[in-house]
Amino acid sequence: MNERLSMQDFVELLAAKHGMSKKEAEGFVKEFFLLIEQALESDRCVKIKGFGTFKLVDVDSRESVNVNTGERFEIQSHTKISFAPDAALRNTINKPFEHFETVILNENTVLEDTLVEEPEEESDETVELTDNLEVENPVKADEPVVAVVIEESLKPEVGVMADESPDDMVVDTPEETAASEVSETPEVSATKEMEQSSAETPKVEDAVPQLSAEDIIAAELRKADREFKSVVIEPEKTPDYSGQLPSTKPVSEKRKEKSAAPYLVVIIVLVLLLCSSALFFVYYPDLFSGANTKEIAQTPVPQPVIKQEIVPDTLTVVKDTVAEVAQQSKEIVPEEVRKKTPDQATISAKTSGKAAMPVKPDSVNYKILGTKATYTIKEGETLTRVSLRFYGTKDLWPYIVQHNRDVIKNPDNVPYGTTLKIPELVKR
Amino acid sequence: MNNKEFASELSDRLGYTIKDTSELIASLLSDITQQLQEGNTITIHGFGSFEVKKKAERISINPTTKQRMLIPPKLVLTYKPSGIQKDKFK
Repeated sequence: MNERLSMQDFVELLAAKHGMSKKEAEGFVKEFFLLIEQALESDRCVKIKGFGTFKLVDVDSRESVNVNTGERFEIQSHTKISFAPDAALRNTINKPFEHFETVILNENTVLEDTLVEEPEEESDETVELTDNLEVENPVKADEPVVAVVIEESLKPEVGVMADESPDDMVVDTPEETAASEVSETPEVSATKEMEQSSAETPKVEDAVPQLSAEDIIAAELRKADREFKSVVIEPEKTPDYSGQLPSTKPVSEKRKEKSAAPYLVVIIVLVLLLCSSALFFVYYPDLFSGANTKEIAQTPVPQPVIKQEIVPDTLTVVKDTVAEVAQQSKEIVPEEVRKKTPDQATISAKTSGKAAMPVKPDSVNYKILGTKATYTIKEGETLTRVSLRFYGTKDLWPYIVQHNRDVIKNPDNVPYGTTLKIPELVKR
Repeated sequence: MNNKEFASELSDRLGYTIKDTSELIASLLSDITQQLQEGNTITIHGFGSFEVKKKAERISINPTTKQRMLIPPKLVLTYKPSGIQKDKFK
């Protein structure tokens, strides 16, 4: 590949093929190219079958500019040699790319480098959002400051929103759906809302594929955005909503997508803090149920009190994760929930859910396909350790639990000496 | 000058039969083609060089119908005359 070959190589090849002496072969090859040259001179055109056509082309004199000095000068008219490979040769050379065909593009096909409309549209959306907030917050009569603050903090993000990647959207939306589904939890009021949230979910899901295609087709994006907008605005219109939770939620969702660097950092830090504390709670279940009631009691309070820019963020993040995870944990740790009183159950579900949150991306994506190995837990080892050992990540321990239902009574406390079946996991 | 004339002229000069000559030409050309296909560059001293180049895909617009078309990438054989050759015909 990519060697430089000279006449000599062909002389050798030819000599070997036809049993000629090298001298003869060299004479032939030399004469071949010499004749092309001479024939060009005499006829101005040489056609060789299986190779191509050499032609002499006249080039008119033209004016040009010296790049360095900027001086104008004339390029004298001259002739140059052109070579056009013949069709057969052209095709054999192009064989690796043969299967490509010219595609006629639709009028509204927009490629990555022509995304222009997007920032504008989305800023519209945010403006609408803030409008809604302004209208709504006074009604709540909590503190009008919130609206202003939120609005302010939203503004700087508008510019950054163009950066928002479709991936983010896709990742965020399921969270959102989860959040809205779980908003049925006692904190939030009324059945109406339930209906609404369920109405909201399918719509959001609809929007997902379109949003992910966003960078390719701007037209679809517009559609999807409209849908998205309607989804976001809808819940805000209902008078039934109690307190700040619903109103701040859409904002925070928006906010997450916008990925303005400072907010993102704050969010990440908070989520990490939450996760670590949640993990802590999981390992000390006795402590956490007491502590958590406190936490829950506190959360509504700081909401209206602290009116810094970050507050809506943090609060809603808390809500989101809690809500989202509450649902998830129902699947993962059902035993725990059953043991406790309904009140406690939701609380514990929330916190243990928080623990499960980092697991989320992995815990749904795998299928258990039989047993890979067996392993006896040693003193001081946890399921996450085992998971780390076999899968290289701590996040897959729920599968071990699932696969060892009969052996593991309490996933938070597996006595050493327990022999576990390690499931073989296959990505869905 | 077409292929026939070229072959007969070459056979005259070398003293081979026309049949042999065209066979040799075909063989030489198939060697060249094969090497080019493998992505090699062929430089003939005093004549020029042959090289396969990749042309990237592009969007072209038909000026009359205003239709936009995506032209796929392709491999093209290019010939660059040597300096001697260039000067000679200038």
